Order: sequence, then structure tokens, then C-alpha cells
Amino acid sequence: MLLLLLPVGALLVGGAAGNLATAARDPAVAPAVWLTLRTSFTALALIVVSGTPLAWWLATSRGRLPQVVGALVDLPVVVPPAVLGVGLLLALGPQAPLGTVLASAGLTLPFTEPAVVVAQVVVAAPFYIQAAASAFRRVDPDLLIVAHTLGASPPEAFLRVALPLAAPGLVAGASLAWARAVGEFGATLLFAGNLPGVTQTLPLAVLSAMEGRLEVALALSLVLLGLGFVALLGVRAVPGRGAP
Amino acid sequence: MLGLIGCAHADQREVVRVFAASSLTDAWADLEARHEAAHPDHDVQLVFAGSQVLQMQLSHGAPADLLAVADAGPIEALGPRLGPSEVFAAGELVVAVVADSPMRTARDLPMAQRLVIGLPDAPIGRYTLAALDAAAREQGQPWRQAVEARVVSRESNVRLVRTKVELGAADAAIVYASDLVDSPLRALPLPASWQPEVRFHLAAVGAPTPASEAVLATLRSPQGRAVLRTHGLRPLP
Repeated sequence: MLLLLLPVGALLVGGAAGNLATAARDPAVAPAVWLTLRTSFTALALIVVSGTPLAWWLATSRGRLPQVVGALVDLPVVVPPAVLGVGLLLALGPQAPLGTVLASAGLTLPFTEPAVVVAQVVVAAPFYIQAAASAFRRVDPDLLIVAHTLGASPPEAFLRVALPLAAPGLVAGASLAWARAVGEFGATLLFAGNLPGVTQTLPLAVLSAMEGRLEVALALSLVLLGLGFVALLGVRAVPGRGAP
Repeated sequence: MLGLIGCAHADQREVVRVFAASSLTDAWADLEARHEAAHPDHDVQLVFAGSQVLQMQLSHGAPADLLAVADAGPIEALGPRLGPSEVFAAGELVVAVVADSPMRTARDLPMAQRLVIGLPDAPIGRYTLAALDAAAREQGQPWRQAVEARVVSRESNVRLVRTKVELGAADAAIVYASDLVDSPLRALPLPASWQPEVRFHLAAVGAPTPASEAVLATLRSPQGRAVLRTHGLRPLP
């Protein structure tokens, strides 16, 4: 417990003691904040839009395929982020087959802002999809059957019965995925690079600031801490989370 | 808000993106300020990382106009991607210690309790190993082994090496003299016979542009050379 609180406590104490106002005006801070917010919310939107149907399918389908797909969705959670970054470079870099296809269409992904979004989606999507599938599984199937007998089509049953009931779980999953996207470091560093103003997210900016401007690193860390607390509100404060 | 306003201005300016080794952070930030003051229509964007990290990024197609690194390794590795390269500055290694350290000379290295050096992949790491090899010829292998036994971490760039000592996580490090210009740490010079030939190299990435040529002109000008000297580097030729 104490070990979990120590880093946070030290950051807060350091922040109170240091000259944060000057540090926060460093030219590295504002671009990193805006870039992190832009990319993480874009990633979240992509994750929710494409992940919700997938989670519904995982929750309501039977058989081998959903189990295999479920395990594949879990994969990025257990693979180190740096390894994911290497994988993305190998798959989508300019020398890779897929990369050359994209390049001929005028799209080079590595070291661009879209690459940051791609890295965030890869690491954060599993958190949302698994939380959403879990929330959908808790929806009583009888309620869906009743909806069908009352004339609702499957999409209608999903939208008007399952979705509202699962909403607290979906919000909690989305908050967790967003927090993971904001904090993403290893895959972003390798695939998107650490280019200030273009791909330098808050976590990457902290690393760069650590090389000489320690007060700036502290200011950046406190911003990240604040964003983490916001995410925590989403995960914990939504009523009905986990309730049957 | 301010960031958005900055972006609007940057769209109209000619961008010169410089990938520079972390050891060159202060010198190039100063050069950037001077160049943009003299050329308001240019936007010099600086990306700092260990030289080997810059090499890796460029080999995967990262966009840059100029590359400035701390030894010839990345220049040779990137080969045809780069234009002709030149040596633009020389440096030297020193031992960095905390202000109240009992160490007085580089020969006291085995007295360190926690020594941080660079990764062998990083130029600072290569220079450090060369210096220790030279030292071993004078001081003997047991001295060398004692020093190696004190190494607690190898970092990917020299500024991270310096940070470890500034944070108190280590009490000694081997860095460039230029890293201690603006630092509370004390510099212990190395004997001349241990000193490797520290050379900073510059090359154009891809085709030169008028703006990138202008940046090089700023670097080579008397004011540019003075900037390098201010930050502990010896301009060459």
C-alpha cells in the first residue's frame, strides 16, 4: 500500500516545493499537453466505435472462434510496450510490405501524429474491449429474449436494452483505456518517435525533460497525475458499476 | 492556446529540422535562438536523443534536414541517406562527481561507490570504454576491474548519465566536459594519455534546402563558433 503511494506522494511534495509556474511555461509543456489530449481522445473514439461491436460479439457468441479472438485481444496487455513498438515498425515502417503500400498512397506512418494514435489504440483497446465484453455478459439474457418477443430486432435490442444496462461498465472500461492511452510510452517512443510538437506526448516529454530540466519534468509529471485522477473518477464514480 | 497560435505562425516559416545528440542540447538550443533571431522566416526544430536513437529513427524514415552526432558511428551506419559529413567540434571526457566527493583525480575512480556510464551503443559509452582501455595500460587490469565493478547503470545518452548523478542515484559518472558547464557537479579531468578523440559530426539528411544551408552558415560563422565555445565545445576546423 505504502509502496503504491510513495511515488505519487513524492511528486506532490516536490511540486509544492518547486517553482512550478515557471516550469509550466517551458515551450515543451503546452504542445505535449495538447498532443496527448488530441491523440488519446482520438484513440478512445476509435477504440469505442470499433471495440463495442466486437465486445458485444465476444459476449454473446458461443464456440471456439470467440475464445481465440478474445485471447488475441488480450495479447497487447501481456506483451511489453516496447515490443509492440518494434512490431509496429516492422509491420508498418517504410521498408515493410504494408508500409510500402501505405507509402504509395502518400501515407508514411512512423514518426507522425497518426502513429501516436495507432500505438495508443494497440495498447489501450484490450482494456476497453474486455471491460465492455464483461459488462455485456452481465446483461441478463432473459431481458434480451423479452425484447425480441416484444418485436425488437437484434440491433434494437442491443441499442435500447443491452447498451444502457452495460453503460456503467463501458464507461469504466473507456476510462481505463483512456488512462492507458495517455500513459503510453514504449510503443510510442519506438514507432512514433520523440519529436517535440509532433509526436512528443506527455510521458515522452517527461523523459526528455529528465535530461536536464528537472523542474519541467516535475510539472509534466503532475499534469499526468492530474489526468490520471480524472480517469480514476470515470472508473470509480459511475454508479452501478459491477452491480447485477 | 499559445500552442495553437505558435502553430499558425510555424505554417508560414521554412522548417529546418535538426536531429542532434543529447550532448549538444544547450549548444544547439542557443544556435537555434540566434539563427531564428537573424532569420525570422526560418523555424529551426530540434530533436534531441542519444546519437544511436537518432540513427535508428532516421533509418526508419524519420523526417530530418540535418544530423549532428557525437561520433562517426551513426554517420557511417546511415551511409547513402546522408550527404557529405564534416567534423564541426571537438570535445573531451571528464569524470563528473558530486561537489563533496573525496575523489580528486580520474585515477580515484575506484573510490566511487556508484558509477554511471553510457551504453556501449552510445558514443559516450564507446569513448568511455576507449578511455578505460587506455587507463588500464597505465593503471593495470585490477584498477580497470575495480572501476567496472563500480558501474551501476549504463544509460542511452550522456544527459541521462549526468542526471543520475545530479539526482543522487550515483556519485560519479563519465561525461563530456561540455555537459558540466551549467551543472553543480565537479569535473575531474582525464590524463591526456587516456583521452579519446571526441569529435562531433554533422551531415545533411537528403537534399539540402536554402534554409538548412543557412543554418549551417550560422554554425560556421564567428558567432556560431563562439556559441560552441560558450558551451564547452571546441569548434573545428
